[in-house]
Amino acid sequence: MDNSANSQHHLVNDPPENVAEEPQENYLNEGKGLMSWLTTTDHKRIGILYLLTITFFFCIAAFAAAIMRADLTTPQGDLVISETYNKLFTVHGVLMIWFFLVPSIPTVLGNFLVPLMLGAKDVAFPRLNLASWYVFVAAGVFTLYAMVAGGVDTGWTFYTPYSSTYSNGHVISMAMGIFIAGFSSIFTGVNFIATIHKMRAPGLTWMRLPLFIWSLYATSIVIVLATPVLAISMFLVMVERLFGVGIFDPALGGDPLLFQHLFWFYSHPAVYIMILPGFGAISEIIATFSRHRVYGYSVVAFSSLSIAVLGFLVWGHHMFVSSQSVYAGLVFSLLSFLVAVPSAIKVFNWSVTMILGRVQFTTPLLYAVGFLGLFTIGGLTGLFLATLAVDVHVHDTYFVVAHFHYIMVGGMVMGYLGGLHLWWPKITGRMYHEWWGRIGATLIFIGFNLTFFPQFILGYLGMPRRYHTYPPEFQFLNVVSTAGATILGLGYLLPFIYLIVSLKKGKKAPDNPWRATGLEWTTSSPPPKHNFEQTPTVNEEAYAYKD
Amino acid sequence: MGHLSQEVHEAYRDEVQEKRTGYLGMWAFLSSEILFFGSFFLAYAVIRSFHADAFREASGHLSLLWGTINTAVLLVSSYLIAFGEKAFELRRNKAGMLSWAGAAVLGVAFLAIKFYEYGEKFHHHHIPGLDFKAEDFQHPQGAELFHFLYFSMTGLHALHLIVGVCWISGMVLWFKLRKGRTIQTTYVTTAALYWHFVDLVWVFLYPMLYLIRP
Ligand SMILES: [Cu+2]
Repeated sequence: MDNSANSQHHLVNDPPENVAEEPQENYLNEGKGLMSWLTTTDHKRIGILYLLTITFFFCIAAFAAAIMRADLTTPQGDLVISETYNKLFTVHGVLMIWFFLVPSIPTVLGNFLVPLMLGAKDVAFPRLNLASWYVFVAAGVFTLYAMVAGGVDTGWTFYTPYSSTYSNGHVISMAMGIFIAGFSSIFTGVNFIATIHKMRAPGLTWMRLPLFIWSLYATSIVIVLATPVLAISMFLVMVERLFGVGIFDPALGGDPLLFQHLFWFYSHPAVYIMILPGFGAISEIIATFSRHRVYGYSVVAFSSLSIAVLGFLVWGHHMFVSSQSVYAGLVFSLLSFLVAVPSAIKVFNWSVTMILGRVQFTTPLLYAVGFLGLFTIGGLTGLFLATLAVDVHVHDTYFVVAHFHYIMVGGMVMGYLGGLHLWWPKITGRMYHEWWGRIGATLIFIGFNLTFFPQFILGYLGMPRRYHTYPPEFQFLNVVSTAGATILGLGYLLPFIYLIVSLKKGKKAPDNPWRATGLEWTTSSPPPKHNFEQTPTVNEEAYAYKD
Repeated sequence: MGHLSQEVHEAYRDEVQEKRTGYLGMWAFLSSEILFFGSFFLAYAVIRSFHADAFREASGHLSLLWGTINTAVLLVSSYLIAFGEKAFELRRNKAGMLSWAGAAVLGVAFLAIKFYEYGEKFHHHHIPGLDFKAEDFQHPQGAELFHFLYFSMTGLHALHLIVGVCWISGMVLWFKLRKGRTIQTTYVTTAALYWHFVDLVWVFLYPMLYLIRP
């Protein structure tokens, strides 16, 4: 689908070659001091604020996981008592989901890249964008307070009536944190929808958009429609706890299943809030390093939307063993199978793109390839769980834990890190150390599999999740898993170190180090405050690679 | 502040783009709002399915008169908003501001009546969770849940209306200060959209809460 030779992007603002000595005016050095950051409405700076914030939460959540894995090396759980263990997995789940995975790609890479990819000066509502960060931080304060004040032992799912009546932890504060975090998500979602619809550069039609934009568009729709339901379910838990009005408590005339319906109506689509942006990053990485247009562009684009729609119709698969009707179970099972179709389409199309193109095994591509493998395993085991009878067997076991970590960590975190590497030169103006990058990506892949593959077996053999003691025959696989987690931790530490080092020691990044297509690569690295000297005009499709 | 708003302006290429973006942002936000209220509607449907008699009985303890008056008040306010919007469009700014000021006053009237009704509930000890006089009801458990939903749903609605009143009256003041200059239809229409949405929610709340009485 190549156009004629003269249809290249005009590199409207390539800086002159010889300015390397004078530091260029860019969004990083324009405006100094903490206040200039805390009052910024520049989408790029807000992206950086989010990057720092979610990295902080990731570290706490990862630390909680490390203690749990250490505890699980012995069958009797020698390190912590049961209550502490419950609080650890709650804080791990809550922070990882609402304070790392949900915001990760949208608020960091999305904030930074959406206006750049669209050829716009900023997002549609820059002040709303900054507000979303402040709201997010406020939410984090409530959540951290709950953690420091003594913790919560309900698990991230807050099932009632345990959370609303019996639990002794600081449920209200933590539910409040999640309630507030929801508004931050909604602000971002509304902003992206308006931006993608209305702020595109001249000539940038829908079918010319990068797939990253398509995936964030689908994500934003899910965010806007699902998050309010989470907010209300958290609100009702708080009220029930505070005043003893039993909307979810059967003893008081309420319905605990109502909570599960409300909660999963958000929390299943939340899986797509987390994974769809990862799909977007993977599409960009694969196109860039295969030097080939993503095969079946429009199918990949629309599969994001169909995942967003179908994602709203499958929440009942979390309730197969609740008292939900068998017929509802059948329908939810069938619909859950359907979600596999667009997901598989994406995996096939990425694979074909790599076959058709000339693949360069750079760090981001290693992450993308890792993503393909891990996401496929995670997706296929999801089909086991969508099958009614199998789910009854493996429900609430480590099989489920392994499944969603393959999607969330194997899929989403790989996509996030891959994307972070792909755009790191654009964000910071520096190149990271390529070989350390490759070693890190490989370590993460190996460590991840070693951690979570044994958990499939453990779960299938019957080890329940959320217990810190277990029968001695499960010890071998648990020790393997903990060993894997150590490698995984090391793998995460590497990019943390070499990316920071690159800020000082890294080579200066050219504007387009990967010779990639896309408007974000036509501006300087790092970009100037208003992104482009002139509004760019687009006259060709995305990924128009000519070599 | 002036500096900031200038910056926002710079995000857009032209006024048309700014206008369309504002509308779409409001529509996207309202779609989110529907799901906020929608969660309560679901909770109402489920709890009512368990306690149909109790809901009917408890609904009888709300004031049909005040509820109906409030419905009329909000519908008239919506009319005034629509009328004012058209007036602004035709550059009849004075008529526009007058009818919007009228809508804001009606919004305040609605809130006053609503808080009077809440006061009555306190008076009768019909406050779920805190002070609920079970003897007044044949089905106290369901009646308490009904009252809880009544307070939550009308409370969330009142919160929205307070925002609406502040927004509308703030805009009227702002228009007054910059007299003679053209009024940007973006701001008018987005505010009107919001106001109509809040009214529309009430149109559902009114029958669900007030009209299911025996
Ligand atoms: Cu699910």
